[in-house]
Amino acid sequence: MDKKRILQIIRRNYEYFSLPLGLLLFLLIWKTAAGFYASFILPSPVEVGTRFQEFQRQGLLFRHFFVTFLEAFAGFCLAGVTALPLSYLLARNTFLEKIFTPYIVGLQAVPIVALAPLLVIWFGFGITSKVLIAALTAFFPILTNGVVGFRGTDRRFREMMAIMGAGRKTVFFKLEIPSALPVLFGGLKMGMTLSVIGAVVGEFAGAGRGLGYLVNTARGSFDTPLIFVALLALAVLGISFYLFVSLVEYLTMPWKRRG
Amino acid sequence: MKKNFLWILLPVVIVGAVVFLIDRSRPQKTTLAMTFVPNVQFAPWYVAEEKGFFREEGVEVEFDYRMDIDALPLVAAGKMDFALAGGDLVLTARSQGIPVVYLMCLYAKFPPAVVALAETGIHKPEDLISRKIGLPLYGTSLLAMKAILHSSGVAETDVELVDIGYGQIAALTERLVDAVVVFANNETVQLKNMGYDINIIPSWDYFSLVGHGLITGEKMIDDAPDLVGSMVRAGVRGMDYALEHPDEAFAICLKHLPELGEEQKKIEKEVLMASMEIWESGYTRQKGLGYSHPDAWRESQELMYSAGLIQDKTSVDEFLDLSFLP
Repeated sequence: MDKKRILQIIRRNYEYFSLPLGLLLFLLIWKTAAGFYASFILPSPVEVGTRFQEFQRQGLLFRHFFVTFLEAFAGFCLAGVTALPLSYLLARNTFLEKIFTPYIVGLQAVPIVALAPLLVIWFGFGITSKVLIAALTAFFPILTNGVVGFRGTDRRFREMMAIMGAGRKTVFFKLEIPSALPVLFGGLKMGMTLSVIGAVVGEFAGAGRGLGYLVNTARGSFDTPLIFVALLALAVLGISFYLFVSLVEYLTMPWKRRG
Repeated sequence: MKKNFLWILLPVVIVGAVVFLIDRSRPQKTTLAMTFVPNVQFAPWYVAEEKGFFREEGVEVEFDYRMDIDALPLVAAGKMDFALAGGDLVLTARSQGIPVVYLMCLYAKFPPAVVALAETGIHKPEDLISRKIGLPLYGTSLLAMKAILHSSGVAETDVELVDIGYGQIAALTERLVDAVVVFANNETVQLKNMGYDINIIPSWDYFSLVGHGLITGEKMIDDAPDLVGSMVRAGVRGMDYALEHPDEAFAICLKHLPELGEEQKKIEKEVLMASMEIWESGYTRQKGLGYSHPDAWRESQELMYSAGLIQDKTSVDEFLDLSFLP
């Protein structure tokens, strides 16, 4: 195969090469930077890889990963079932919106890092407090995107459906939800990844397991490679959640595929 | 021509000499990382600053506040000059090959203690069997817990350790756990002032590791031994002065804690007095403030090693340098 042909293939399919190339570049930059620091400050990719294998062999990584996954996912679901109906209510009723908005914004403005220790004291050191913290973190972006999405329904379509004699239920399922979905999914993607942060913050405040707990214990024993293993596991969790929501988005909006 | 040249050179030499002398008289700047937030427990260094002990040593100290587990690696890497850290953290760091050196001790006795409300009937380690004990599951508190259990023959599997971060007081008073691990000179004072009747199991009854003290990196000792000596001497003078003048020491501490209310000031005064009690031990009364016995370090390293808290042991000479102490 000649050089021109190879370049042609790369040009046509560059997006498929960009991910592994980007990863290689990231590893190269990391390895270079690690050369300037002691390993307890910035370990190299090889040191982190070795520590990952060691930790995997002990069978502990999945246990911590699963706990944080559960807390984040449950928190996201809780945020979703509370924020989505509320966002519809606020979108359709400006009076209610005026009453609720200051409290919702106030709650969002309070840093979750400051609130987490209190929630752990009030709801215990088990999974409940972590799920609540994850839910609180995910709640606001889901709510605000929901309000924008439901409010964004084109008035002309609403009027046309009214002329055609469509009932409230039909308008909701056939117009309001489909038109809000793109913006809703934006909020859900943000909420899903933020719920991971919330779960970790909850674990920092007090936990016996989870990736946040792992970061803390690794810090306490100056095991910087293990901190990196936990951070990379968190990144994988966040990316997986994002892809999951993207997949649901892809499946629930066939008209976008056709468009 | 030669005369003109000399007239030009003379002012240059004079200006150069003046700049050199001014530079020499400027104090050497350094940083000291104190753990977490300003606290009366750092009284020796607040006193050293206020009374000019640092200035007399030709040093200007900037106080930095961050967790000791974050400051220690920076000190070892030469990114920070000095920090306060627990003896157990030094042993943990050394087992990981982190080149940190312990210079002088603040707490001659290891401060953590197990505390329980009197109503639980917990008086001794054996009473902890089948009970929930809340503590941060790493560092100083975990070592103290393991040491108390190990020394009293109670298996770790006989107790339930619950990670509660640093919410010990709330966890205990809300009865979420049966006992907590706290600093004997700090949280116990606060609990008593809140009106709680408590039982205390101090870790110094079970082993003799030193607590927090001044640390630096190996490179600092090689590159700037004079600065290291200055910091140690000023710190010891600060401790000595504070012990002789506790009321004045407390007033100096308050300058670093302007947010304290009147009620909290009373509590913090008691915390300072309780802290001062553990600055001294039988050994420091013999040798002097800041000294710690190498045997205490060996014993503690052995305990941490057998408890699985560290994977490697280091020769005490490598990380304990008392040569700068007066």
